[in-house]
Amino acid sequence: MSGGEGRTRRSSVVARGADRQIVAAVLEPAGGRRRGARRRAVGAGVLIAAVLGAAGCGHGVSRQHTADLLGGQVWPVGSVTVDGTTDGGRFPRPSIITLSDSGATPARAVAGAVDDAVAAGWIPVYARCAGPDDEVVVHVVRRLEEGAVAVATIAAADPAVLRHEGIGVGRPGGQDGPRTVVRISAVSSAPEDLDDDAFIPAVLRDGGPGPGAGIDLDDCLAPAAQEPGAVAPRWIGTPAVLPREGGPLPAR
Amino acid sequence: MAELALAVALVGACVPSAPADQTTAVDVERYQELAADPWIGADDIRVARYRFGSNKLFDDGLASAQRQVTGERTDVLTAEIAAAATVGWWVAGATCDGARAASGGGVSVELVRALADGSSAVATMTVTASDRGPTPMAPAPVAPTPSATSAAAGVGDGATSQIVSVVAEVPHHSHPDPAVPDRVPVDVASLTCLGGSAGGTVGQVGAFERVRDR
Repeated sequence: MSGGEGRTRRSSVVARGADRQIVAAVLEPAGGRRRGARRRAVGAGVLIAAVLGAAGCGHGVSRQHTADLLGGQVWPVGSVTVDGTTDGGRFPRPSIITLSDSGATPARAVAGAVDDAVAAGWIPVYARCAGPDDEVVVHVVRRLEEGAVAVATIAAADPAVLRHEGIGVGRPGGQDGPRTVVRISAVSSAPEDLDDDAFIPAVLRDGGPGPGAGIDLDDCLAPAAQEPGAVAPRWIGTPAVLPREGGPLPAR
Repeated sequence: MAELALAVALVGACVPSAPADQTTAVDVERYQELAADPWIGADDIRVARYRFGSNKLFDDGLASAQRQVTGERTDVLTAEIAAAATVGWWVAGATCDGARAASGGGVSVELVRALADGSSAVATMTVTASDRGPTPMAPAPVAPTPSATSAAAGVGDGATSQIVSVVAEVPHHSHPDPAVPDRVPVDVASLTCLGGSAGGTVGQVGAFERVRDR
């Protein structure tokens, strides 16, 4: 596991640094030994390092690798960050967060982003919406490679709402500002999630999403569904949430 | 330098490590129930766990969400309560948020939902007026349809907007279950800050606080 990674650091440095330490330890024998014994020691050390590496990275996948898998997706486009703590059994997950302006209503702005996501292979599994100017949220999911999965939340709302939620926006709303801000937050599983899928959304467990997991968004996002003055919250499907910080996993 | 290293080592040694059973299958199941709750639609969620660095303190599981809804405060409250009821939440009590409540400030509603393992989740929903002002006019659709045209005409009439915040909690496996009150009808609209005459609190609130006080 990665319990020894320390606090608040980038995983790439952690993984490579740990490997270097192990190899360096193996390649620095006490000295004065014969060549054959040294070879055997090196061979055993490499074997031990390989076993430790496989155990520590969960299915042999490092945190950096899962970050690369997320960053390699066609959608969303953005920088991958892997910041977080490993104190107390917690662990960070790779994530991409983007904010963009739109002149459309929240429902139309989200519909555009969902179209891009679906074209890139993501599957919508949950949507929450109400009236024509209300905040709209859609959850999309996909499998990556080597058992890794990803969840993305697409949300659109008036900029004032996002400020209320503590999310900075580039420009103020109002007459000259954007009508809607679209926020995309994509998070991929961490190596720890590959060892234990306790916190992976149900739709992505057991090789999912299976056939029929996707939802029809017309009841939520189509113009005909946007009734004026509607305040009743509506949703379709089941949420798929994967926070940027995972753990602690239950002891086994 | 050596003294500094020694000091760091001593401080590090004083931080208690997380107990092995800080999170169990019970906590994971409760986490999964909150995560899958479509009314909450959690923006953020965390499993119940040890409060790192503390002296044997544990945090309850938590799921939170925030959304903006167009409508008058009482209408939004009523609609949210009805929506929550469809997935098993029921109102235990509600309270006005002090002096601000009468002028569009917060109204908090405490809801309870039974969990599969017999315990209960408690959610606090707060509805406050948004600071975004009147709803702007919707842009005309590129190819208007009758429904879309009527939708565009229906907004921009100065409708108010509310921020709905939901924080739901489930107890850590080492904590006692919340003291859930008897399930009796609670008329949230009768709160004084909503124009009623029942006072600043109706029903019972604070189930989780009572647990923590033990």
